[in-house]
Amino acid sequence: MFKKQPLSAVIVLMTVIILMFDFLGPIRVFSSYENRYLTQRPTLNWQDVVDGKWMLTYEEFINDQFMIRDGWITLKSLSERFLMKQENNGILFGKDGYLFDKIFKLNEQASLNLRYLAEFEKLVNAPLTSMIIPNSYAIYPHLLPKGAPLLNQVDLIEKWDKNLNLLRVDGQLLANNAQSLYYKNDHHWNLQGAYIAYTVLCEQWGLTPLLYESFAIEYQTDFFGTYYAKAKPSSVIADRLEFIDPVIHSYRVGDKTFSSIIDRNKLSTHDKYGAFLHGNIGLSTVTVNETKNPSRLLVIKDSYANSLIPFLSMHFDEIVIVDLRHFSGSLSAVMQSESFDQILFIQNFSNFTTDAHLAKLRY
Amino acid sequence: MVFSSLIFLFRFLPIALLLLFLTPKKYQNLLLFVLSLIFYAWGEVRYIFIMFFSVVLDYSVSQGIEHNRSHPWIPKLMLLISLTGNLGMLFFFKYLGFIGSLISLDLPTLTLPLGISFYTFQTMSYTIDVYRNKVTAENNIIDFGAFVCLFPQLIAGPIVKYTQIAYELKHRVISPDKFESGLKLFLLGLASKVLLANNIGMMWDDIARLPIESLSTATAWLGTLAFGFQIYFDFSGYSLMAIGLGSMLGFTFPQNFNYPYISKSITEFWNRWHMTLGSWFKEYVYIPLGGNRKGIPRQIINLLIVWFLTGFWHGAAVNFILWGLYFFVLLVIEKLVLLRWLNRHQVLARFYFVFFILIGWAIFAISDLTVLSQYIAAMFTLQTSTQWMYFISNYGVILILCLIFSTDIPKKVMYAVSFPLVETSMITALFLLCIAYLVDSSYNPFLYFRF
Repeated sequence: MFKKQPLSAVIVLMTVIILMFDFLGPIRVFSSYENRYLTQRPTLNWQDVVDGKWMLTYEEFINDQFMIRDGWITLKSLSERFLMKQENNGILFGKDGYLFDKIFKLNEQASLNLRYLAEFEKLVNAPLTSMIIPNSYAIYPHLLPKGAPLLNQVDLIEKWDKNLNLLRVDGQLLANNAQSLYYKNDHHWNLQGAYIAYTVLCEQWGLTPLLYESFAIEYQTDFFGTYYAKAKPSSVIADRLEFIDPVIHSYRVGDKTFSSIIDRNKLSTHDKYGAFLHGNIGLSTVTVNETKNPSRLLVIKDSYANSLIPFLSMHFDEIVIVDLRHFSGSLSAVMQSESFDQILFIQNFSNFTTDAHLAKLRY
Repeated sequence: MVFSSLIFLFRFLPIALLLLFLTPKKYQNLLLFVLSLIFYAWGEVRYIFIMFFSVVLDYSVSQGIEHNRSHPWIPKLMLLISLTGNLGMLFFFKYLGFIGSLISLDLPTLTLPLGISFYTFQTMSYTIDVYRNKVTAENNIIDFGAFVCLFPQLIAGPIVKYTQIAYELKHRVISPDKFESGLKLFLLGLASKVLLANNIGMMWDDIARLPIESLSTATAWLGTLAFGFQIYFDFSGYSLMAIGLGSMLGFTFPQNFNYPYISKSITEFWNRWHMTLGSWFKEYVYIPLGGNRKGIPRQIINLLIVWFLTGFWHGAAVNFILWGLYFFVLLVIEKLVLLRWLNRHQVLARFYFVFFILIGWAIFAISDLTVLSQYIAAMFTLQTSTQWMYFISNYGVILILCLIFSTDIPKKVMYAVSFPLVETSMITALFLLCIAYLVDSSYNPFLYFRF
């Protein structure tokens, strides 16, 4: 057979090996290479078959559990490099080792979310400050692949500012873009980026910002974030995860209470970013000082706020944090439960324009 | 289920082949029928009943014709029932929502049963051929069912006429040599779809997603070029996979694409593009209408009908009709005057062809007529920007590969240096790359959901 039908022999052999592995090999739960959970074998039930749900999950299961999955992903990224692509899986390769989001078009969710935020501005019973933080590509245009027709986030924020009462930080970020304000391999800004927003906020609220140097900044090396997990670039410059572990009285999540907002166990795992605020949590409370009449801040946020909250903890006794993506309760109930001195709404551009959970601003 | 998926390559196909090779000849068609139904039901269980309906309808109608050959009107009635049934089904699922929207009637849009445009055309060709006494009606409903549902060509062609595989349905031979050559075609088709079409398709997707007012002239042309490559490598890749699978199972399916982009006129293009659809319309619409035998004016009207239908077959939207009529106009002009000139100016003819085919793809690709007119305007008004630099630097290599593989040069080179070992290792390498792209797939669209 090898002589007369060589191709059939090779392909049949390959298929047999792959099939044997598929049926006998281990089933992985988490991929540290991609930093995500892998699909498990779906249980067969009639309703899911009729709906086609079972088929879809089964296909995902086969893809996710495919023999040497990580090897295939590497092979694809090698091939993309051979094709001289400047991107992989929707992540652009910028200069100086920066990876960037590739957003060409405004998501349709954006107009809805703008409306929700406008309605929310009228609804709140305390001073509200809203911030939409641009993503890294909008702050480092000089590091982008030439001609990349990316959506102009700063222009859009400027346009939206006419109808909304936004606190702008894009100008300050752009003015300081000679410094590192965002991670190279992750979609978040870093502490310096967040610090700029902190100073702008302090000015808005009539507070005196503390000097950057006065904070005890800690580092965790070898941070490979979400952009890296998607793009798998040929050469990578590891980031240092920067964080502040402020002195607090307690940090409360549901019925659990922690003494720190940083979950240090996570720092040595692949999901390093999960160390902030002990992961993605719908509702949590930082009690900085326990006093009779505490000054209170409500933060409605996505994970961009994680680097900002330690700075803010210097100015409030209590910070209540709501992440609408993981929050199932009623926001107005939270707002009525306590009296807040300030409310901060903060989201990054990409999340603000795509997140369907902002509808919860109305409840 | 689609061919370009791990589930097909590493579950369905190996299991199907194993079962087919183990099953005695007698039960082969039954097994093929059942396997094809599973293949079809994978995407949408409910629509399996449409397949049953289609099989039973054309089987019984053709039996009716066969047994009443000498009767004055029964065969005619039977044919009418088949045409009404098939076209009615097509109309109901594919065109009703569109017609409703034209008269601003809000009808629920149905998900189009996969491949309905292909299999209704196949079953109609069968019944018409029985009616014309070109073939005797099939007595075995299982064999007939296997023909209608045959999974290799069920969802995206080629359109196989019953007469073309009637003999092989009963007496096909599976041989190692046919398996080997079929496997080769299948893998080349897979590579065409997964490596070329998907990668260049991302470029079209990028450009289609840009705000239309920011589109520069160069980008607009690059966009339709990318779409033209995507649809060619996707569609011809599917056909090649179907032909290859057919050969592995002992069938001989007709060729569907013959390097359409090396054409020097639109007329030549349509002799090389989706050839089985063209020959279907020729045999069952154009010639019965009188073809070219009734004078030039009548021929032009016949062409108008054929090209209106060809356009509309590709999707229930106005742009597809426009696309068909666009080719009607070009083909008539070529027939009446231009073709003679084009034959004498080969180089200019290529420019002419590329220019008009690219405009054609813009019409095909964009269903929203406002956006379409803005897009065409962008192609013809001078607007400069640096956008093109990004697209050329990001997709330049892929574009060059597409250009090379849309000609017959690679095939000629392979023939010239035919070392089986080289060929086997190259195709295996392509297969490995396809697996890599399927495992890490962020983009693997199925383009014919509207057909």
